[in-house]
Amino acid sequence: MAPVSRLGGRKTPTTDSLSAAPASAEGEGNRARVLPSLAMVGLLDRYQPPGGWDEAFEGEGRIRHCYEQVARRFAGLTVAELDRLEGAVADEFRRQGITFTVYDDDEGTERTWPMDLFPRIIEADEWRELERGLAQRVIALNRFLDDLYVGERAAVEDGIIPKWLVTSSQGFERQAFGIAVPSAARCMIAGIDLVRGADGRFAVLEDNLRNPSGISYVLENRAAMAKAFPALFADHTVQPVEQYGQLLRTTLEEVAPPSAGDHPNIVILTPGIYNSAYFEHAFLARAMGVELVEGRDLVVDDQVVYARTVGGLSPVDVIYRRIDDDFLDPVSFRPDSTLGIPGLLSAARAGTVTVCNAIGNGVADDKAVYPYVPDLIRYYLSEEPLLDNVTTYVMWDDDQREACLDRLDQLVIKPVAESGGYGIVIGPHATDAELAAARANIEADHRNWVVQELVQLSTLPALDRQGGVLGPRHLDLRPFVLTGDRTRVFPGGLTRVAMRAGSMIVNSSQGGGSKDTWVLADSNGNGER
Amino acid sequence: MRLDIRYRMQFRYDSPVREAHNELRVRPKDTQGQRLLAHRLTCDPPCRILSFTDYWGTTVEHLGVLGEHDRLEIVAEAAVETRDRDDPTIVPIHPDDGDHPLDNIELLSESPHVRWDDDLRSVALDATAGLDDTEAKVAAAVAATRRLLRYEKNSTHIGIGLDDLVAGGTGVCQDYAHLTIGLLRLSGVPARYVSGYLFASDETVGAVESDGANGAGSDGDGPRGEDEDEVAVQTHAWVEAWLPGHRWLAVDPTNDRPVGHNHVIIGTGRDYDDVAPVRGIYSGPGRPSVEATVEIRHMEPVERTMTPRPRRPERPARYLSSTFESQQSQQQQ
Repeated sequence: MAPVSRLGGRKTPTTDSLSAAPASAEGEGNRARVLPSLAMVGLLDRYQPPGGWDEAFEGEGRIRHCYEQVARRFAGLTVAELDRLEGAVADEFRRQGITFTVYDDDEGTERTWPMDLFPRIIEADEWRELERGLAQRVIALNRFLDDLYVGERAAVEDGIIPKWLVTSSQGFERQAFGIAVPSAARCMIAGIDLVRGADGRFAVLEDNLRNPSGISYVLENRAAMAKAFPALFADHTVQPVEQYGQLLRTTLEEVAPPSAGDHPNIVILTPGIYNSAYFEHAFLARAMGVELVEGRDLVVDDQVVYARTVGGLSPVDVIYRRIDDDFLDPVSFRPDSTLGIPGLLSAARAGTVTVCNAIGNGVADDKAVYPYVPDLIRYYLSEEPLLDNVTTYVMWDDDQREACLDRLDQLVIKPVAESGGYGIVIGPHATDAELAAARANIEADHRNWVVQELVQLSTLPALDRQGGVLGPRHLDLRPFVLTGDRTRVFPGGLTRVAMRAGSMIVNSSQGGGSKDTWVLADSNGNGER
Repeated sequence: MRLDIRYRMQFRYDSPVREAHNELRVRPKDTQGQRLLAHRLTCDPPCRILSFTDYWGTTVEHLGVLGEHDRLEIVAEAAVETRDRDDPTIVPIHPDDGDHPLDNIELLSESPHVRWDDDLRSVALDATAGLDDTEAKVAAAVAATRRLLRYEKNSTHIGIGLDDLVAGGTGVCQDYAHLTIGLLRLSGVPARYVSGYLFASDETVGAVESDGANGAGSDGDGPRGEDEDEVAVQTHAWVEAWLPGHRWLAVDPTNDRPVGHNHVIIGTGRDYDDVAPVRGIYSGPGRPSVEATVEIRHMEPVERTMTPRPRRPERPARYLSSTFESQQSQQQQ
């Protein structure tokens, strides 16, 4: 088959039969079951996982049980068909404005959300394990944050984590000191990045406890997938995701101040249309049925936050803010901030409004604090951590640092306060100059860098247009964990996939794509639609 | 010594503003060496006041005025009893402050108003070269600061960098404090900024002059006793340095006199930003003129003894008065 354009379905030459086909490629005839066999044909016949763990295939090309039907369905497609389906999805995303922004030299470029159609599938029992591990981790992190900001700082006093590490964290916000949050839930919405290494075990790569984004893409990916492959959904019991808006709303209602009554007034605070995640802010407002506001729409009077409406001022109980701490309130933070609400912290402190996520969570997702999370779990919960950390070295320890500097070309170097994949150096893929720069950075500031063992991320088939096949691509998973009265793990999450063969960088800001993520319902029909 | 302090701040806008928020750190701390006897805060136009204790243990009062106004007056009054410490320079350390220099990394690192370059690093290393004793380093840092700066009212603005400060060669108490702190941190001594009031007719003299010059002229005859009853001043700033063995050494680089019963502490922090007497913003077309004055009145003879207070092993207690109890409890919801 001739290589087709990378840029999407529109440029792909189509056959008569394909151009006449409906948006779904699943005619009745295509749905016939193929008997299980070891050999894959068509798009998967040259599929060669690079070693490590492949999500869909065991050794010797054997398909894992949960992927059987999906693999057969995709193996039977032509590249042109798949490309056309992806093109249709991309067109739909573009029409709906489902985009994200890549920042480069301060200039933002709007891109359509990239989605690969081959879905990621997680079986029910495996998901239950993950669920327990994720809940455990987020519960402990919430305990830690509560302890730091309104508690006795017991973990610090008891030497579980060094005091200097906490107080030198960029995310440690002294202004949040003493501001309590209902249910002691300071991180109501967490996104925990998981990777699966060569041994098949999931491990936590990093925690996102401030403003994790991506959930809107989870829902949009599902909607697009259901449209493109309706029959596949009929053949699987996939746990639904459309209820996210309701679940988020419930969570936010649970953390409303007692004064709010039975029907708290919830708003989403966005920096505005120029923010890279504005689409998601609008999406979530719609999904929850709440107002999307900017700072100038809110005002504080006598420690109560009000929304300016046509009918006058209306009190606000919960603010799901998607702006950074530093911009929230120009009285306490940056005086030049025009995004925030003057006096907001006084209202939060007075307990008349709940700010979600709470202020100052960055201290707990600081990458230099991350190595301590397993100990924090043991300390606060008296439990062994169910999810591993990726092996991480701290650079202020002379022995660890020297050992790392000796083999930097095999390791991953990360700045502690960045996100979105910015600033990461992957040793085996780095040039000598990049490694030298990383070494100099580490030596200049031990606190600001951590070094991790390179995890050989698991792979899954994704469309390789140039090769005209489904090729193995590395991926990770960001599940979302919500905490109100209790902690709930949302089924699935955002699977991000590297679009280039061999690449381990899955961040959409770095050219990564995404996949629909299916959590299968168990045999009891739990979670079934 | 019993001191009554009246801090008055007046904003006038040339055209009305719609909204103003201010965060005040002006209330004297209740701590070793001083006792807060009474305090009151009033605001005109009236508004609800939220009072709380911040991360650094300082009492903060937040006032938000919504609605058009063209002037705003805030008056904070306090009665304080101060005494000279047994050892006039040593403030007992709080257990929270840790016993390892790294525990005070916040006070060893750069902060918004205390940033340095290689030049300042050389100055610090030269000043403290060969000194092992921390107290000697502190004295050297104060001496170096006083060599580098000449006191001149209104010569600088808040936000000036240490490099520009040294290049300009003049400053006021905040500048003396920031520079001393920078030199100390560069020498490995954790140092914090103290905001407070100084009962002195001139902050460079550090005592009350009997001619009642009210701060006019810093080239006076030096301290001449403490028989003046009232002074009009500004808030003052000095420095505390961390000594091994759970102690803070308080020094006042602006006048190089001991920190004692003339000094009234409001609070401490990394630098001015953490304890600024007022942080505020307003919205509206008007432009403000701001006038802030501090009057300190000596109320009773110096000999009056204070009731000894037990030392508190736990964190500084939140200070509640009947006036602010309602706001405090609101804060704890």
